[in-house]
Amino acid sequence: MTKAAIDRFEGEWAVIVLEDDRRFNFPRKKLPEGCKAGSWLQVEVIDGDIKSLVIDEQETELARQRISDKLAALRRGDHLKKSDG
Amino acid sequence: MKRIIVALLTLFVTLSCLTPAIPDIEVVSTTVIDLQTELPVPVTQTAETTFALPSSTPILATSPAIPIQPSDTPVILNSPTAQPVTGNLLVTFIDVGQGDATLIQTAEGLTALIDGGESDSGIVAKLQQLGVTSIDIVFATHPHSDHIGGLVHVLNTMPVKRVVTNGKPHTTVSYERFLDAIFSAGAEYIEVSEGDNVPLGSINFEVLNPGRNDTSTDLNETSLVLRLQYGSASFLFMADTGNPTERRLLSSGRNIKADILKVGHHGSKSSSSAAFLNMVKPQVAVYSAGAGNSYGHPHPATITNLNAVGATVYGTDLHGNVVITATQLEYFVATTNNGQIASTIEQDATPLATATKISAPAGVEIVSVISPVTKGSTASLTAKSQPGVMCTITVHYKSGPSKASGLEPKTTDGNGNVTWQWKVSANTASGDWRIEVSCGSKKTETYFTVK
Repeated sequence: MTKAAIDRFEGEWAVIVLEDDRRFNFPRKKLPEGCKAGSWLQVEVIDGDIKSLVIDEQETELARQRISDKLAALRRGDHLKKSDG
Repeated sequence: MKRIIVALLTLFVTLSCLTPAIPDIEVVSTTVIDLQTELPVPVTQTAETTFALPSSTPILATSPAIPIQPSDTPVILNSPTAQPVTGNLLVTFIDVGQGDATLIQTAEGLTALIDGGESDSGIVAKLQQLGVTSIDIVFATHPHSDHIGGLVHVLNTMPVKRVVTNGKPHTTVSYERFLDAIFSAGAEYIEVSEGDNVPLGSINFEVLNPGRNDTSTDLNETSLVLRLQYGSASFLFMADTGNPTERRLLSSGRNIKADILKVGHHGSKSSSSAAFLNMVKPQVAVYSAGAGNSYGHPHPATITNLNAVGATVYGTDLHGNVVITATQLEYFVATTNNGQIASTIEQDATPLATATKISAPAGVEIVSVISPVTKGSTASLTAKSQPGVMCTITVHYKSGPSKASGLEPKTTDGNGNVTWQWKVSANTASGDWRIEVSCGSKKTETYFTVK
């Protein structure tokens, strides 16, 4: 199983981006209940196709928190302060 | 006649005197379009912010963000030795496949990049081909991977001074990498919304979207929408916004008129409503989409709406890079490929439009297609190429390529025309179906509707 997230919906497709940057179009109707744009998933890829996927609520929450912290640091300009020495 | 001289002299001045240099592309189609006269709208500065860099930073001037007035007379263009007061603006809609990336280069040599396509779009190499080795402002319109994926590589490989976003986060790998890349690059990070101004040297990006109190849950509708005025040429970059944002912009009272429209959401049918396009009134419309993409971009209804307001449509899937060169008085459109968009209406019969047609290399063009077609009746398509060229047609229905009789390969007649007629079976699924036509090595495609 590989970690992935739903990047967006394009019409009937969910665009799923894996941790290794591979992208898949997956039928939106076949997504498990509760999936939204930004939901994290565990996907099983066999022969270049998604064979199965499950929603990973815990990973979604962890990512949300981690990303929220990074964004807050960017807004504070922490990365610029560092470069000033 | 005067227009021809002015335009040709402008072309001469453009090609010989001005910076930045014309990008190193093979220009196979060039169109000169006279601009509508339009007075710039004063920039209001109530609670809105202009994000000028500190004055100690020499790269970006802190001049007021007021559009440049066009010269009263084109007299300067009548002398090829005269140096124009200001140089050219280049706006390149880069072909990044399915995604978006738009490069803006000012006469002072400043650069802005609006989105960077997918992570595998090759954006860095494409920028380097255009002579770009650093970026002053990166705009990330919204955090979808087909817009920010490539920006990660840009931030990791070339100097970027400032990153401007809509401030809307996303819980994806792509977005997290994008934040990490801003950190590593040490780029200034700014969030903007409606009414803010982002200057780049002497030009100014006016932010029209997202609204100040935006509550959209659809990230597409939170996209940065930017308007840019240069001389009397105006640009409107819609990113991935659709009808809800269009309605908001229509009621916002802001100036959304634009000569050149970057079509919303890759030309999908949920964008580019007739009411919106009637207000924008674009002369040129550019959509960005990947050839053969899975999402049906652009939708034929969008092309129809764009044609209905008289816009000449360009698409990166068919035309490759689409480059607008704006001078103070007019602008040019150049493309790397001589693509043809189905059912594009004829341009005004100006002398230069005629010249464009004459110089256009032989490709293949859809002259007409019957649409919609009722099940059980006969469909017809006429294409034009060089005389005596073998052409093939493929009609892609839901069930696969049509095997109807009448769709056999044919040779164009003495005028380069070829027509196919075929029966649409009563069993054919309703919908918009793609038709591919190839003549020699050239290809084009269109859609028709089965009802």
